[in-house]
Amino acid sequence: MSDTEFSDEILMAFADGELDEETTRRVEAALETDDDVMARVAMFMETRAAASEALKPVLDEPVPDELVAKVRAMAAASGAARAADAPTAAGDNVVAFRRPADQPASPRGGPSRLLMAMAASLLVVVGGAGGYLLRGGGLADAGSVHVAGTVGPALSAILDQAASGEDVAVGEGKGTVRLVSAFELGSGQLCREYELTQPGEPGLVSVACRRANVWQTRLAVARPEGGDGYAPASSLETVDAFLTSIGAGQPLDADAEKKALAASK
Amino acid sequence: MSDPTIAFGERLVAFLPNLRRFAISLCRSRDVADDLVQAACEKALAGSDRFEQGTRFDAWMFRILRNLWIDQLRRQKTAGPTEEIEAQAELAVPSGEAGSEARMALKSVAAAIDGLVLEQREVLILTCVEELSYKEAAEVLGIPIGTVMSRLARARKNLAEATGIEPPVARSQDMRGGTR
Repeated sequence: MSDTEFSDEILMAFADGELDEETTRRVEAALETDDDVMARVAMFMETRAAASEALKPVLDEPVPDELVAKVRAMAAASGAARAADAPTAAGDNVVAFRRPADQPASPRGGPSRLLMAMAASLLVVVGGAGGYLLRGGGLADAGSVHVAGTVGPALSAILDQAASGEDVAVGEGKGTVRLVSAFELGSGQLCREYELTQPGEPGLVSVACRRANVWQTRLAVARPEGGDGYAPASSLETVDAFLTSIGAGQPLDADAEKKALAASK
Repeated sequence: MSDPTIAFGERLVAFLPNLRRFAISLCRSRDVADDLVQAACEKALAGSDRFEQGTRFDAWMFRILRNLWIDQLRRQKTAGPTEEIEAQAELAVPSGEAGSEARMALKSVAAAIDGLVLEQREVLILTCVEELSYKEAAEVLGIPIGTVMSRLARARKNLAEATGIEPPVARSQDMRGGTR
């Protein structure tokens, strides 16, 4: 599928969950096969997440006391003036003012909320050739962020063979892979979700899909680390959102998984 | 039973952190932003009857504040640049205890946002940071949705470029590059 079909505005609206259903379906179909579309969508998701993260600290700054005091004083003065003008029938208003939450509700519905969760915690997507380019801040020194890289041979072998539920060591002291599940996309393509733990690196939850016997990483997100920094929304939610967006089926049971893994595709 | 205006005032106070954040990103200076926030609150209190129940309070406040800022810009076209440069460094340093690497990352993103032109910056903040829909942002800014989308897409491509969030180019032999 040609990615020229989708303008930046369309892919951005998809990333933001603002696209109509029909076009959403077309983008989702393209995402299954077109890495360029995926990369462009990822760019829009990452910029949203990055902007939101970057300006979060400002929200946590204490509002100057003076400003708060002035606003309260103005409210009181304006209330007094009004009360003098005309006695207000307070009851209804008070309730009405308070009912809508002050926190902005997500204006979007449906798949968008899933994508929002994804955008909120999509940190870095893994690079090709087994290079795990994950960095703590997600954006710090990732000179370029790769989407959908080819999984390296060691990990590929694990993905080809290990059953879900197993923990497998990668190389010597290089880390551990925990196979979470195997499932098929609507197209029949086999995918696996797994977690990768490497010494000194944030844990990673990843989804890879196999095409022509080659595993391609479709998504990798950092597991939230406790304590410092601004932990993103649950990375597991992100993975779920992603799985939904690519039309993942239910996890295969042990037998079906064994057959699917053995079959060459 | 409390006075509705007091309740409105408390609602404003609760919303101050967001309002202030939007103001800081518009004028890139905390001092100017605090004055702007105060002026917006004054205006909102005076016009609290005009707030329509069931509509978004945040969008309504952003519109008031943003209109005040645009007015101010128009009035003092000459006074701008010097203030803006020092303000950039100020916004770029997030408070908080994030790790140094994370802080670097945030710094560069915040600086990149600061570097956007106002029309891209405001649309980016409203949608990506304050989570307004395109339609709500269009209403705050008084522009068509199509314009919101084209400015926002440009803002994000610029941000991606400035911070190194870039889509990979031609990763496999049979794959064409992006549309850029």
